[in-house]
Amino acid sequence: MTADSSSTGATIPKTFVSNFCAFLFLGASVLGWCYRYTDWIEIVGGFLSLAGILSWLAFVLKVIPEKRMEEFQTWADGIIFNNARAKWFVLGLLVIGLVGASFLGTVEVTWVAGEGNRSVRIHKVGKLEGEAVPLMPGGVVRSLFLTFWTEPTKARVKVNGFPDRIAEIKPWQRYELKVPDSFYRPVVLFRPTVDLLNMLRNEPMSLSVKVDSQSWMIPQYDGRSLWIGCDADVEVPEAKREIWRAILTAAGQAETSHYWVRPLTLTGPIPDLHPGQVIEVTLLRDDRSAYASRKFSVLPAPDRQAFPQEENLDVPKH
Amino acid sequence: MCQNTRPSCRVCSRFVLLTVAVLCLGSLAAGQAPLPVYVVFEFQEPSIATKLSDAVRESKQKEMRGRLAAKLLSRFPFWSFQSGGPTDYPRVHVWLEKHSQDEWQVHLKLLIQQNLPEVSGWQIQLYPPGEIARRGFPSTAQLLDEIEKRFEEYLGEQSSNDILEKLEQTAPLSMEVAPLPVSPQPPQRALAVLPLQWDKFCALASSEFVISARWSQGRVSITSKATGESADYKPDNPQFQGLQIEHIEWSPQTGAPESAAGHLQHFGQLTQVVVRIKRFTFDPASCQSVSLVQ
Repeated sequence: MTADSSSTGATIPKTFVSNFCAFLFLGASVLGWCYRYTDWIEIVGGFLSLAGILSWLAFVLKVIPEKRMEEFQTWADGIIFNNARAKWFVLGLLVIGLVGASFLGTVEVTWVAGEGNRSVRIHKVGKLEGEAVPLMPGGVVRSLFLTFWTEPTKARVKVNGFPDRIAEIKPWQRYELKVPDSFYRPVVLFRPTVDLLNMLRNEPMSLSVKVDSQSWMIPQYDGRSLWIGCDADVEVPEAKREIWRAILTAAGQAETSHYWVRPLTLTGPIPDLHPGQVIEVTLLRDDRSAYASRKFSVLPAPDRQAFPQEENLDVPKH
Repeated sequence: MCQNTRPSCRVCSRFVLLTVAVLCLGSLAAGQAPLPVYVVFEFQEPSIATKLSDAVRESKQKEMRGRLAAKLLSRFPFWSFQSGGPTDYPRVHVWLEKHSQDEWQVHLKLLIQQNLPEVSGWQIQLYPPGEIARRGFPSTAQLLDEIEKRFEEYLGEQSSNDILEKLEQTAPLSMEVAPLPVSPQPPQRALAVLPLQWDKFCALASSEFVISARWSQGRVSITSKATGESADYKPDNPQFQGLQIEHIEWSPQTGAPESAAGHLQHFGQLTQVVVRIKRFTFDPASCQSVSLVQ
């Protein structure tokens, strides 16, 4: 430790300059990382501003006499900024931070514009769903994950009303998702025709759904619409609901619209659909023979117009 | 008298008479059973027919055939309606059809013989437009109940007289007729007995019949009328009291109609006999005498 007699002189010691720059760089890096990868910047910023906890420090410092304050500053200057070893301490912190950050990545969900409010759940695939975080129009939700270059972490992002999305997060990555566009992915919305709905309303049958080698069975299927590839809370787009209401109104049964506008979903593991996959939907009689059946391929969902892929099943005509 | 004035009045009259006849005839007992008219029911409409597995569908159709046959039998007791197959004749064929606006109808057709067109067809509205939309298609069990109910209602309506008329004209009542011995004293009447048990068929005691048969010179059509009396069937080997008729007119295939009295010697030579009702006239007095005896 060297006393800095020249702090009032013309020249500034190199040690001071290098330590000052190191401290500045360390602070800026930490704040920059927080700003880019976390939701903490407001908290940290608030902490550091005079409006935050430091305002108490400022109050305390005002109580201290000027002379004592100068002595403290001189001590701090000597032990921190004019200390040749301090830069190694700062560099050490930087290296630790750098290494630590190399095992972290984040998911960012942004809702640029919209109405109402939504909630976001972000959790590692295979782990229990975490708490829902509110998301307002114009808001952003971020979530940090421990991850590795060799095995990036997979996180499930679920915004209520939309299909979930699996994000593969690499270190240093900010996986950006925008509501709603990022959440449109291949999903099938299956429904019976009006005739088939009427046939099933009073005498349900079993519905079998096959996606590749996986199969699901819905006993007592009474003609409701069905999501294939997402969970039941996904909203049927309003435009589609309007079309469906018009179809049912034209058929003289507008009161049955609830069969379609509140779809069921497959129980158990939800299939992650990919374009080109073949889905087979079959209505089964009591003896498990087929009453009506249809196969269709999963189509890409490039935008909200193509979402969701609607598929129908009709009564046998021949 | 009524039937000579207005056709609608005649239909009305037939409807009332038939209703009373049904009440009088009651259920037909064993003995001389009337000739069968088969009933076939098929779902046919693919959306409902394929809803059931083959075995269940066949079972339900068979069940429905029996139920419809029972309704027809209770309405038209002169024939023995029974469940049949698609190769049985004469046959009332019943099936479901779906029309525009989701209207569902029960269709009937009467077929007398293979390779011949249907005698006539009828449609009964099962579900009017909008009903299925309102309540959904009924379960299969309910559907069968509703078909039966609607069918019964239709048979209870005056419009079902058309079915009776077509049955009278085409469905045989008997395939036999036994001539009674001719009285040696005039007037010599061409009397005969039909193998229709008197206590069950007394309601036909004033009705007219038409008998198609073959004789030595070709085919002949004979118009006969019930005499209101019973007679032993058969006259030479009595088994039960049959319905006595008197032949009125002899109409050969070629040539003008003649009085039946001129052909007394030919009635014993008739073959390939087919007896049909020509005009049903209810005779309550005859049935009352039956009731009193019983």
